[in-house]
Amino acid sequence: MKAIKEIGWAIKTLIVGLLITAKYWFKPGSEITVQYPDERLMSFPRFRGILFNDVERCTGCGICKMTCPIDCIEIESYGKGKARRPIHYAIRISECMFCGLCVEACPEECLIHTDRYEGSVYELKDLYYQFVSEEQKKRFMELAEKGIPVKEEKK
Amino acid sequence: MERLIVKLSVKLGFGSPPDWAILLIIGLIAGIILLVFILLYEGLATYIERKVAGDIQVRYGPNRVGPYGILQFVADGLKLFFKEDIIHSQADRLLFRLAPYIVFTGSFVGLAAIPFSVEWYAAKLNVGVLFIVATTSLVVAGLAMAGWAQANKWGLLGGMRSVAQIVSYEVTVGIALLVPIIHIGSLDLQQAVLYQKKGWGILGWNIFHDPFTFIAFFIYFIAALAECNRTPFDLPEGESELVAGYFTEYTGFRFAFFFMAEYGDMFVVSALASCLFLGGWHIPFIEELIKIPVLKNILGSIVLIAKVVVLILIMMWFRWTYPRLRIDQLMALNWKRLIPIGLLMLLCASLWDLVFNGKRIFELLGIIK
Repeated sequence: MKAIKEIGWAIKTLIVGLLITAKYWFKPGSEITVQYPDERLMSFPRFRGILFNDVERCTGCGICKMTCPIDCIEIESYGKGKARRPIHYAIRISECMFCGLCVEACPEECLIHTDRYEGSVYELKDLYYQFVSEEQKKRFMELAEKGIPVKEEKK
Repeated sequence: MERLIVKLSVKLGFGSPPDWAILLIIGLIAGIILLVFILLYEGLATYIERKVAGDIQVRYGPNRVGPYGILQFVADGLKLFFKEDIIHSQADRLLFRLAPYIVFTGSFVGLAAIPFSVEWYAAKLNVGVLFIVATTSLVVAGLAMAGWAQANKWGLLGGMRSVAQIVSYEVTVGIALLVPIIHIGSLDLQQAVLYQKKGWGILGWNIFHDPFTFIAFFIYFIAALAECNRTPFDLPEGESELVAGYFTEYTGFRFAFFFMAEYGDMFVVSALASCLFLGGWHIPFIEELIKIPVLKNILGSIVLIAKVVVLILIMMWFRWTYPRLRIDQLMALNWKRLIPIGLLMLLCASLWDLVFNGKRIFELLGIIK
């Protein structure tokens, strides 16, 4: 008697399980997969993505370089006082651990996390992100020699 | 067919061929047709399996190669074909090479006995059921060889498990198959199909013969699942415990052979179920209206394959629904539940045959004549 009850219970539970999967099997458009290369999810706010420095606003203070725990930021400044400018700013993003300390420390808020998260490249040298181009370097040196501060140049 | 071969042989200048040559050529042609068919089926079955898995698990499944990813199996086949074939130094080389062929042959040869329609069958065997049961058991030898030959603990455990499982469930399969065979009175599958001609091609099915064949069908189906090493009885290849079980060390095309053997086994087992229980190639309702023999053959095989496909889809549905059994549960289910019930059904079916003179339940109720 016990065995028969057991078999009945087994059949009942098995059918319940099958119906649950069948519900999803025949439900059209129930797929929740994001087809990655065709469609991308936006990263959420405050996502610590790949770093970006808006060098036009950067004063070249070098606090980011000092706070970086793994020394992956390279910065070289030119000029004195308020006219100081970065003439070389690079991040070895392959070493960066996205802790965000540099972004917190940046007084000008020009060093930010973007929402980019696809950092794969074919060669290691492509992971050496340089933010100051040659033209910018020339211009910054001229401005620094003239003694124009960063904020006033904008106006 | 024979006349065609004789004519062709005479025309080509070989003279009249001996009987054995005719038999050999017909056998080869049938074999090639079945091989092409089974390879195509296996490719599509892997694709459908992945699609079903995707749908049940709320994702897409293959959708990159070709429209709806339908060419995925071609890509997979090519990949397996060009992969490096590794036989590691500790392996027993002879057994390692032999095992995939035995497994594949065991699952493929069973197709020979299956009648696809009135005239379309590879071999007219009067012991077809016995032949299929025997060849599906041959798979065990291959699996044990594969498990032993690769000198790998996972492989060995998988091989041992599959032997224990298939040998035990073979008994259940045999008993469950005897139930309809008692009513049919023949081991010939063609006879079995012809026996189910009554009742518009549906009510005459053996599964509706009496309550005992109805239960026997489910016993057979459960045991057949275990024989194909399908979930929930896929302990020999349980990836969470045994990596891949008996084919752990196999790569490339040898691995593909095991894979194809599994799907081939599914086809044979489902085809046997449809022939013995579900009316085989009988076309429901309109069989009497079709007069052209060729059309009848084509429609008959389509009906048989449709039944097989439905059973295979149910197997896939099971796979993505149920968790795996434990090894002691597996054995307990077989020896303590399925075999006693099977024997009881066998006894009851024999008594039914004796008491009601082999009449169907619908005949007794007066629904069909």
